[in-house]
Amino acid sequence: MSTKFRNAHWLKTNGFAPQVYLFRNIESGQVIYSQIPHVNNYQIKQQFFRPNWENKKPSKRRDLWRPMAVAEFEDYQRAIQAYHGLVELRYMREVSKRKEAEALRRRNEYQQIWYSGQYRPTWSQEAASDLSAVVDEFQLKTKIYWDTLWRKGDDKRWNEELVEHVEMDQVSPRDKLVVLDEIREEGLRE
Amino acid sequence: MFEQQVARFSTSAKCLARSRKGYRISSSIKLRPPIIPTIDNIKVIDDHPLWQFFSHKKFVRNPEEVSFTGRSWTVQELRRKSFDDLHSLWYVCLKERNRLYREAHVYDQAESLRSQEFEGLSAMIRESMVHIKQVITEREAALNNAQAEFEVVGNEYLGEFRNAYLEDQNVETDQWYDKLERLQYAIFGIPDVLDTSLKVDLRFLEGVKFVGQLKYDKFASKIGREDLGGLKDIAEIYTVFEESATAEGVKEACAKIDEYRESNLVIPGSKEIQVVQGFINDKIKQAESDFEETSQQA
Repeated sequence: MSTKFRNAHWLKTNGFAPQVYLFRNIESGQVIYSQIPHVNNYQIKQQFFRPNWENKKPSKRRDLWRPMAVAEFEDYQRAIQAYHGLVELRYMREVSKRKEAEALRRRNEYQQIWYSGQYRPTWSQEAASDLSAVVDEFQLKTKIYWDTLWRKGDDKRWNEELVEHVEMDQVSPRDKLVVLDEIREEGLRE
Repeated sequence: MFEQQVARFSTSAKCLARSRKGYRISSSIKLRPPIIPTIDNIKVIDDHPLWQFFSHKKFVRNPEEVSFTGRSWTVQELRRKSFDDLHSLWYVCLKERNRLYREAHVYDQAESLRSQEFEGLSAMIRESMVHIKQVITEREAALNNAQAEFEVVGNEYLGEFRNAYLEDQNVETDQWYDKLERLQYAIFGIPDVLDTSLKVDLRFLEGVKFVGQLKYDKFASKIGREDLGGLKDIAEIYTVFEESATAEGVKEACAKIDEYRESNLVIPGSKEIQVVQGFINDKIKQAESDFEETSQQA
């Protein structure tokens, strides 16, 4: 179902809430944005523009993708707006404003993006930063469910008037999708 | 209405440039630096069990704080401690070693030689733990030896105890009560306080017989109840056994025995264990219902 772009009507009729899901790859730290709580080849194709050895195209292995955050918006249109904004910012970081983005990334002694093993923390940190940028750009009232509030970072980086931060229930990774489903149901009720 | 919301965004730059309708981010936007996660957002409850791996909730102590000028406990010192003391000391040591291991690991990861100081203290604590084990092993060996010896000279010892008890003028003292209690527990395994997990066996039965008979022999002439002509079966012995080791207690027991003899019952040897178990269970039930009544009244 997450195999192509989904418009507001489709999301509404299929019982999804006005939310954008951020999944992180536990191996590489890369992040995928999704309109519904699944990761598919569509998102990988759409969101990884110029892969290189530091930012490889990830696989869609389900065991590697863990929910990092769920951003909930006021209505479906705004959720789509935010989703587009996130993907576009990703495009800017990788293509049109690559130099600017590279300058912000932490480096190791060989001037490569800092890493440990396969893991580069910068990808998930940039995703959080882009989410805050999108919220400010479109002035979206947002409720963000974080996997762990640790990732939220400094409060100064978020617009206090627009954003509310909540922590997801702490459960084992096996039950993460159950938690996502509960968040979806809660989003529909509100 | 929804038709207007169909996405115009796609991965190609050309399409990006064409799409409009408030979905586009202005191209002049300044990229924000990555948001660095911070532990300031995480509140840890004060009684989190993992705090036990930290000394005073500190990430790591300075080597100065763990500088060890003391020494480990010696075997001689530990021999004077009770089992409960040793048990708690063991866990104090174990927890401290866990803390030290964790901190040494932190310094190790930073490739600092300071971890050696933590390991030095840990080794010292380990020595204390070895000594605790030594003392416990000694005690276990002593118990085994005593039990083995008792099988050889046990009857002689019980005879001596019996004579001393019967010959002493005044046995209604705390000292003799303690002695009886210790004898019951050490030799026959009869605890001071009965509970439901208690299983009556031959050893238990032997203890009941020994103590019951002893009390009767001591006090029968004193309270003028030699007319009973000795205790006839286990029910009578148990009646004396469960009363206190005083003339008053035995007198009460004799009154109960009078009542019992009216029924003309005699319990055969094969039923003794069952009967004593029944008595004990009844007594516990009685105590429980009494307790419930008093608590309800309160």
